[in-house]
Amino acid sequence: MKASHATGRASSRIGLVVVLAFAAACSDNTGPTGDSPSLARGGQQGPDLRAAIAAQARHEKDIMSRTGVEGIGVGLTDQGTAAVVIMTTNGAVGGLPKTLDGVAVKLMPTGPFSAILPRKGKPGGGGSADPAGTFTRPVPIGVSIGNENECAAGTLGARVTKGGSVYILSNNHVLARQNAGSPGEDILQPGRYDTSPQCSIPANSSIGTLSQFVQINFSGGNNTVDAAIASTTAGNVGNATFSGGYGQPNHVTRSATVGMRVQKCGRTTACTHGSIASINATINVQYDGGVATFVNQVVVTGQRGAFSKAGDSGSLIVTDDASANPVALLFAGGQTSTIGNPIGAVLSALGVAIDGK
Amino acid sequence: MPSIAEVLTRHTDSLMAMPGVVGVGQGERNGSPTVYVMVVQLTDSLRRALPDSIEGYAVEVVESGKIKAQPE
Repeated sequence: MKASHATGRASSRIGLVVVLAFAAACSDNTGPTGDSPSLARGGQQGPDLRAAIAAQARHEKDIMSRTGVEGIGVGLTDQGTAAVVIMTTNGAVGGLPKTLDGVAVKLMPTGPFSAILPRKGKPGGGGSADPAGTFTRPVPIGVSIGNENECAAGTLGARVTKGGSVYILSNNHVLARQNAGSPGEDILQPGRYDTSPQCSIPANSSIGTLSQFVQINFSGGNNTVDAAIASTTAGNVGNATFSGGYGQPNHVTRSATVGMRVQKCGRTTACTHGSIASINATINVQYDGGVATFVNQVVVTGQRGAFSKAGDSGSLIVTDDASANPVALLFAGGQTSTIGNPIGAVLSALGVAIDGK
Repeated sequence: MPSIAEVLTRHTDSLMAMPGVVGVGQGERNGSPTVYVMVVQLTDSLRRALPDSIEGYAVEVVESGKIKAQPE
C-alpha cells in the first residue's frame, strides 16, 4: 500500500505518463467488455486530459483512502476518451463513483504494488532455480556468468552458432570487461560476484573462453550493440532457460514494434514480462568507463515492477508467446526502463545465429 | 506530415542536448506514433523546455532515471 500511495501522490503529469504506458501495454485484454484494443483507433492526438487531471487532484485523497484501492491516475476509457483511472486490488470496489466532476472513471484491477526485493536463495535449493547460483552442466541460459578477471556477474543470454561451433552470447561488458578483455580469457558460471566466498574462483567453473566482441565507443560516436561471444560446447552450455522460464528461444528473430509483449530470463530478476515502449531510440548509457551513446535501441517497460536490474545484462529478450522469438539483447536500464540492442544487429555484428528451436 | 523517422532524425540531437534528457525514440499513444523522451527527472526547467508536440507528433515524456549498463 505504501508504494501505491506514493504513486498517487506523484505529480499529475508523471502519473499521466505512467498510466498511459500501462494502459497501452494492457489494452488488448483489460477492456471489461472485451472490446477491440483502443490502440487500434487512429486519432492523431490524444484527448484533452486536463479535466481528468483536475478531477484526480480534487478526489485523490478520498479515493485512495478506500479499501481495495491501490492507486489513481489519469488515462483513457476503452473508447479513447479521458478518464480517471482507479487501480484496484481485485476488480470492483463498492461505492466508487462512475464519474468524477463529469469525467469518466475507469477501474483497472492491478493487484497490490510492492517494492521488488533482491532475490535470495541457495544455489540448487528446492523450488524454482536461483539464476545467480551454480548450475550443473550443461548450464541453462539466463544464469549468472562473468569474466575470470573481474568480480562481477551478468547473464548468459543465449547459445549461438557460427560455422558449426557453439558460443555463449552476452554483452561486451559481461564477457569482455568493457573492451579490456582478450580472446581466451575464461568465462565462469557463476560470475565471481556470485561465488562463495564472494569473488573467489571455484575449481572447474569455466564454461567457455572469450572469443570475439564489438568495441564500445566511449568517445561520442554512435554504438548499436554491446555484444560479445565466448567459445563453448554443447556439453557446457544448453540452449534452454532454467525451469520456470520460456525454454528454448526460437532461431527466427523478430523486429521490435511499440506495444509488443516481451519476456526475458536473467541472473537478478529471473523471468520477467514487459512491453516495448519505444523503438529507434537514441540513449546515453553510463558505464564505469564513461558514457556511450547508443542508437536504434529498444526500450522495454516491465509489466509489474522493473523488467531488469543490475546483473541482468546480457539477457535475451524474446516475444512473450509460445514461439519466443528473440527481439533484443538486454544491456542497460534505469528505474523504470530497460534498454536492449536490436537482436538482428547483434547477430550480424558477430556473424552468429541463435541456437534454438 | 513527415514520417516519425524523419522527425526523429531532425530533432533527436537537439532533444538529447537538453540537460537531463537521456533518451529519444519512437513511442505510441492511441495508435499514433509519438516522440518518446526519457528524462532523468522531470524538472520544472525540462517541463518548460520540452514541447507538447513536434511537427504534429505528440511528445511523451517518461522519467526513466539515469540509464546505466546493468552488470552486478
